[in-house]
Amino acid sequence: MKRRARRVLPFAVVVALATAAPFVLSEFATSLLAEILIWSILAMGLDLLFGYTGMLSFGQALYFGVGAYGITLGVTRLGWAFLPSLLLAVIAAGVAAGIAGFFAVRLTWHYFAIITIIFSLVLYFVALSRADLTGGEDGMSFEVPPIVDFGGVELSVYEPLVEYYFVLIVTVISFLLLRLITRSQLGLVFRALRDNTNRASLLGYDTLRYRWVSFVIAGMFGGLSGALLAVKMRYASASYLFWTVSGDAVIWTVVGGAGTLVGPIVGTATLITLRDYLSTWFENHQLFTGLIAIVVVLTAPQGIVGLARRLTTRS
Amino acid sequence: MSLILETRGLTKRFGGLTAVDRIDFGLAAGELRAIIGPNGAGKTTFFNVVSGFLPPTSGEVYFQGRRITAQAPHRINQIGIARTLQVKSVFNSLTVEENVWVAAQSREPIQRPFRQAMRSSGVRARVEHLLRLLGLDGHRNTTAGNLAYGDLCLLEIAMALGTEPKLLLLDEPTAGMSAAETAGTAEIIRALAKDVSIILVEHDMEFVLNLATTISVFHLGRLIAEGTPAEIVRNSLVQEAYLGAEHA
Repeated sequence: MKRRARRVLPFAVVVALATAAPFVLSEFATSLLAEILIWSILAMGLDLLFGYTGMLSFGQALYFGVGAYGITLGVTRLGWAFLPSLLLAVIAAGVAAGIAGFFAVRLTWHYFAIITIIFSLVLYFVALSRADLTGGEDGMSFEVPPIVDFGGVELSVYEPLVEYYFVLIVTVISFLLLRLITRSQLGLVFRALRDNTNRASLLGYDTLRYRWVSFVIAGMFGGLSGALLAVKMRYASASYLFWTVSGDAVIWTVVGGAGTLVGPIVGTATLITLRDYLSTWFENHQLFTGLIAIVVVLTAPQGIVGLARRLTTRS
Repeated sequence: MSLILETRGLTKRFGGLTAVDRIDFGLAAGELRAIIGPNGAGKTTFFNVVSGFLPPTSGEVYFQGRRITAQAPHRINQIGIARTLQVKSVFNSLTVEENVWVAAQSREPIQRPFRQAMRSSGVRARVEHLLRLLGLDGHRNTTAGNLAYGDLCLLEIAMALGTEPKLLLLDEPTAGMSAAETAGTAEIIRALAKDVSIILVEHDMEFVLNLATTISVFHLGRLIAEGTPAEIVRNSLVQEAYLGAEHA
C-alpha cells in the first residue's frame, strides 16, 4: 500500500498543479503550457516506439500532420462535429502508420530511421502540391466547432479555460493509456524486442507484427497530438508534416529520458519553455537546444528523468 | 520408432564453402543426442538451418513428420523447437524473472495491451517452476545483463524451456563454465531429457561421453559417424578426424 502511494502521489501532485495552473499563471503562460501538453503527447507516442520498442523514428511528423489535417478536413470538408473529427484524425493517423509501418518495420536501425524520414517527406511534398486540399505552405484556417453541445450548452475551445482543461484531460488520459500499455503483457514483449529481436523471434514472437503494432500505436498518438495542435491554432499547414517536427519529438524524448514516459513530458516542457524564453533574445536559439541535447546525451544517457532517478536512489 | 526430427540431404553452402553437406539426420523422440566435431564441422550451421535462421541451399527438414524447411524462426519455435545460442543471448535490461516471463507468456494466444504484465496465474506457475529448476530463484530480480556467465547460460535454457518445446537444441551449453557449473548443468540436462528430446552441440568430449545416449560426429560439413559413446570412442574415422593423431 505504501509503495502504491509513493507511485500515485507524484502523479496526483503534478495533475493538481496542472489543474491549478490557469489560476496562477498568466493567460499567455497557460496557453504555452497547453501547447507543451499537446506536444508531449507526440513525444510520449514516440517514446513507446523508441524508448520501449527500440525503433528510432525520424518520421513522426507524418502522423502528426495527418492528424492535424484529419480534424481540419473532417470539420471543413465533411462538416462533422468536433469529436467525430478528432476520432477521424486519430484513425487516419493509425491507418497511415499501418501502411508506412508495413514496410518500415522490416528495416532496422538507421535503415528504419531513414525510411521513416522518406515517408514523411513524401507526404510533405504531396501536401505542398495539393494546395487545393491542404492550403499548401499557407495552410488553412478553420472554425473549430464546440467540443460538445448539450442541447444549447456548448463547451467551446474559444473559451481559454475550456480549451486548457480539454487539452489537460486528453494528455492525462494519453499518459495513463500509454503507461498501461508499457506495463502490460504486450509492453513486456515490446521491451524484449528493444533488447534483442533475435531472441524474441526464437521464443516464438512474430517480431515484425509486434514492431508494427507499436508503430501504429505511436502513429495514433502522433495523430492525436497533431489534431489538438490544429485545434489550438485553428489552423493546419504542410509545415506540420515537415521533418523538423519529427526531429523535435526525438530531441525532447531523448533529453527528457527515453523509456520512462515521464521523460518525454519533462523534455518537451524544458525545451519548449527554454526555446520560448531564449527566442526573445537570440535569433539562433536553436543552437542552445542542440547544445543541451548534446550535453544530456553525453552525460546522462537516460535523460533528465534517468539522471534524477539515479540521484534519488543513490541516497 | 517415430522420428521427431529428420533432415534429408540437408545442404548449406556459403559461396564456395559447403558448411553443411548432404546431411541425413534422424532423432527419435526422447533421445538425448550430442553432435560433436572440430571447429568448422558445420554443427552450428546445422542448428541455424534447422531452427530457421538460415534457409538451406537444398534438402529438407521434417519435424514430427511435418515439413518445416526454411520456415521463419518464430514459426519453428511455435511448432515446438526451442534453441539456445552459442553467444548467449537474453534480454539484457530486463530482470531474470521478466526474461523467463517473456518466454513463458509466448504460448498465450495474444499478448494483451491492457492486462498488467506478469499477472497470469497459469504462466506464473511455469515461471516459478523454471526459476527453481535452474536454480535462478535467488537471482530473479537481477538485471540479466549483470548475471554471471554461468547463470546466463542457465537463464537461456530456462527461457528456451519456457516455450514448452518438444525438442530442445542446445548450442554449447557449458562453454565457458567452471567445472562445478558444468557438472551441475549436466545434471539439469539429464533431468530435462526425461520430458523433452534434446540435441546438444559440444566441444567438451568428456561432458558428452557421460551424458548423451547417442553421438553424431560432424566433420567438414558431413555426418561421418553415429553411435553410442562407446562406439564413437572406438571409431577410427572419428579418431582421425576429431580426436587427433595422439589418440589414433
